[in-house]
Amino acid sequence: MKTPVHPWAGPLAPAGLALSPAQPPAGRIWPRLRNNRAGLAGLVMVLFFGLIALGVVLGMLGQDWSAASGGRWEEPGAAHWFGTNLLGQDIFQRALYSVRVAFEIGMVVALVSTALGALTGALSGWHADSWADGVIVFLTGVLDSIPFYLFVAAVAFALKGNAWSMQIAMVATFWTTTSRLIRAEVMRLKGRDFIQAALAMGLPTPLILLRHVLPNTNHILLAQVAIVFVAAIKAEVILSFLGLGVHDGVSWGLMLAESTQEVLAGQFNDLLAASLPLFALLLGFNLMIDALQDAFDPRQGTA
Amino acid sequence: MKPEHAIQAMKYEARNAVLSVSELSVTFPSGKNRVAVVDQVSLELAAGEILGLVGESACGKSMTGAALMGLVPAPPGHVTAGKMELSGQDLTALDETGWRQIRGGVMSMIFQEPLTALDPVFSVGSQLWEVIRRHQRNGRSAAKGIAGQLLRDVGFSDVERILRSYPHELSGGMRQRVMIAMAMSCRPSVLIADEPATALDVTTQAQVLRLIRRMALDAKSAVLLITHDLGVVAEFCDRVMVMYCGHIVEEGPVEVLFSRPRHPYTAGLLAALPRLAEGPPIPVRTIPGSVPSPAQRLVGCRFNTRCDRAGQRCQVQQPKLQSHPGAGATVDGHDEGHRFACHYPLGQNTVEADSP
Amino acid sequence: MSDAPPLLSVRDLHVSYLARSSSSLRRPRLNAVRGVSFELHEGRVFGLMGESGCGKTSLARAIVRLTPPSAGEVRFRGQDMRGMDGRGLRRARREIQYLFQDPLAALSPRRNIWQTLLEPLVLHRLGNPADRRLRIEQALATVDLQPDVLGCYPHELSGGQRQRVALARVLVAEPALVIADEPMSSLDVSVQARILALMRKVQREKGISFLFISHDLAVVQQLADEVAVMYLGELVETAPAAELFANPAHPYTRALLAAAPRSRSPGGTERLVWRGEQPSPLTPPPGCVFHTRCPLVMDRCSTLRPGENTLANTAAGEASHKVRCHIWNS
Repeated sequence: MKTPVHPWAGPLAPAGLALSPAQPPAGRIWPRLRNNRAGLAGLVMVLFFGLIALGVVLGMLGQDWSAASGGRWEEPGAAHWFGTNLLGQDIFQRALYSVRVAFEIGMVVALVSTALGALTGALSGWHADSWADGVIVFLTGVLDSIPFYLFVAAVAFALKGNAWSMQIAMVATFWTTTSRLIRAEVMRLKGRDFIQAALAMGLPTPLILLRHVLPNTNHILLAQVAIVFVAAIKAEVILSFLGLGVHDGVSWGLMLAESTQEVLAGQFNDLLAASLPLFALLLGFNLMIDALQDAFDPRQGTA
Repeated sequence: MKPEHAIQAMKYEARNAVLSVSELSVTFPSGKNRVAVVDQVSLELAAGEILGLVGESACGKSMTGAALMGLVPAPPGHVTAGKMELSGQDLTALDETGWRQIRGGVMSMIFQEPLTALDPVFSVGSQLWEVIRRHQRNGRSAAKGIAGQLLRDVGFSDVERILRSYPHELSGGMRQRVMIAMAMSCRPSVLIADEPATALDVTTQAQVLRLIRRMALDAKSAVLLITHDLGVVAEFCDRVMVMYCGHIVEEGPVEVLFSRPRHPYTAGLLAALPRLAEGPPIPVRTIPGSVPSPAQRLVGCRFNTRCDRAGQRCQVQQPKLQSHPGAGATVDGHDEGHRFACHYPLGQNTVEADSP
Repeated sequence: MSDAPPLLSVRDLHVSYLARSSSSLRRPRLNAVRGVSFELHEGRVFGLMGESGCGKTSLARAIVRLTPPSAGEVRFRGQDMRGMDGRGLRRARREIQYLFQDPLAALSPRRNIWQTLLEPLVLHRLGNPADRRLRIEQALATVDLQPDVLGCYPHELSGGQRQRVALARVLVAEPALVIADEPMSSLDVSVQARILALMRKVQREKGISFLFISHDLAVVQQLADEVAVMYLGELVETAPAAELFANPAHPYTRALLAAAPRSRSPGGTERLVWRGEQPSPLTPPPGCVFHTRCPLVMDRCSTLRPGENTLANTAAGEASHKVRCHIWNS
């Protein structure tokens, strides 16, 4: 006999009446986050990188990334913490500056593409089978069928000289997944009783979408932000490596591209200085988003 | 003594328990503690009898059924039992492989929603054959023959079509009949039916419940019928156990328990049930308060927060489930096996006045 | 009956939609409600009973226009709801409230009880911001809940508490009509009785009318003044409650009453066991919808759709007893 999916597979349903005094929903997020150690560690890591990025933007850190301040391949020491590269540039300074570039790309691409995906997904899911839905579904299909790197190259070529061409190309490809996921979720939610109750009450559509539908897609949106953030940074590394990405400036991808020549010569400083922070930032971000997802879900156990 | 009562009494003496369980508990973690969802439940099932296990949602009745089938998810769940014997075989010592041989063979189960218990991507026929071949080691053609006969037994006339169809193509009542055929395919000694008719319409409910009764009689299976519906219990069960907050609060033959409930909770449930009347509606009474959560760790009788008869003793001392010979038992032997867990049971005096 | 126009009148309502089909590309049209008419007067409880799939929920949803009816009219306070302007429709939306079967599904999971109860007040501009808290607390008191539930989320409450919150949300809007779609069937017996008592209290004290939908005859009998029985999209019988339960006229109603566990005690009358299954609403039988399962079936039943007969056995001042069955033609 097939083992039936029995009804207690999930955690035990809380039959209790967890009565707590009136409290705004926002007041519950931090206490829950605080109890999640891994999430807290992730948050600290992301904040750490965020501070570095801020320092770079404010001109306090990583300003000497381009000057050839030393000789070729100097060992790490007091003058050059991580040593120098092929051209005698300070690897530590370059790594610091790259944090800002990575953050900028990751944040901009993740936020813009997720917002765009949420908007189009909600629109097409709510008005399923309308012409707007048709257009959006068609667009996602077309964009998904173009190979990513070819598409980026084409956009970069078309927007020759535009500093944002890489970001635009990434947003143009990354929003489709979010849009499709949100569309499906909104279609499912629309049939649920609490949305029907809002409709029966006569609540205007934008309010229903804002108050009742989108908050229930939080888990998807947060997951997408995390996935796209990571994907964008990884894509930047590869694109820069291929010469399609960052043109003026430095990034972990460019550093890795440099290091290919250096590794052959037995120099690993560039490689390590680019890949370890990359790994740390991505890990921290993933942990933080996981914890946020749990914290935003009122159904998770209250602390 | 009237003859049928004599038979009744003999039945109880000659009880030959197929399944006998004592002090069964199921606990789940809750914060730092463990909470008993099923607390010290003992039961005996005799061949051919239908025992009703009745209670409100989250009282632990379904978890009891799951524990008997070895289906409690562990971890987080944890099952302990003083004794758990199926025809002499000790079930407490079984590992997962051992359970798999028991389940669907000697002991089988029917679920509330057959659509989730049947696999949507396989035809009804292939799911039936699988069960039959797994437990009876039959050849393919023999299994097909048995499957057809089973479907005829549960009342299908166009067997071929049903065998070829997929679960979603059948109506709720038909699906439940297929589930019954599947559960009864190996003539189990024990059948556990968890709310088998709850998802069905009134008109099909009776049909399905009768089918279970008939099939169980044919195969001499003992049935544990888990339900929230007292009407179903009244109509289809021989004995009934009433469960509240993980405890059995009252147990006895159906006729006795319904006509002379001794535990206030049983009486409250009976009074809360809307009854169809030919004249003006019969008013229903409510039980005050609501079911306490298992995490609340009540001391004494679990029902004391909602009971209008509760005294000081009820808040301190947990009443034992026991029979009270003499204390209101009628002389005709009907109250044999009537046990309840209450310090201040109902009808202490009135019933005595009734008896000749 | 009284001269005032009925609060709600439904005339020859049809609801149909395209059903999903796995086998064919053409989606079949499902006629869920076929030519239903009834009237509901102020302060009364109208019970609508039928098995699952008979179209009772489709009918209710068409009345509040969650699904647009395909034909027929719905009048609220004498006004055709289709012709209502924005203001009229908004007013109707406030005065007609819907109570769902499963309160956990019907309450927005990420909004706490305070936000849930505030929403209708803000939407319908009821009260000023200062006295809204008072109104909400009054509604909670009516349904026997303490104000400390306001900070909770729906999943933190018990089933009975949730249904009382749902009832409170309905009450803050100060409705004239509540459409309750199986409000008890997801609840436990002891909780059911409490909700039942609460609904009766609200109905008596505030004079609110109810369209009460249920498959449970005993529950309908507890509340309803008038009862209609629905089968495969049609109302087969409509009568005052006492009359219907004492003298059911349609074979389906009789069978339904006989199928219910009437006595709820052992040794009572055996339930009637039905022959056959309910036909699919996609392909309702021609003629009388019930003829495939009717014990009294005659020749003409399979071809001729019975008209509505009014029986002359109700007292003056009561709604009439109507039945759709050929037996009552002669």
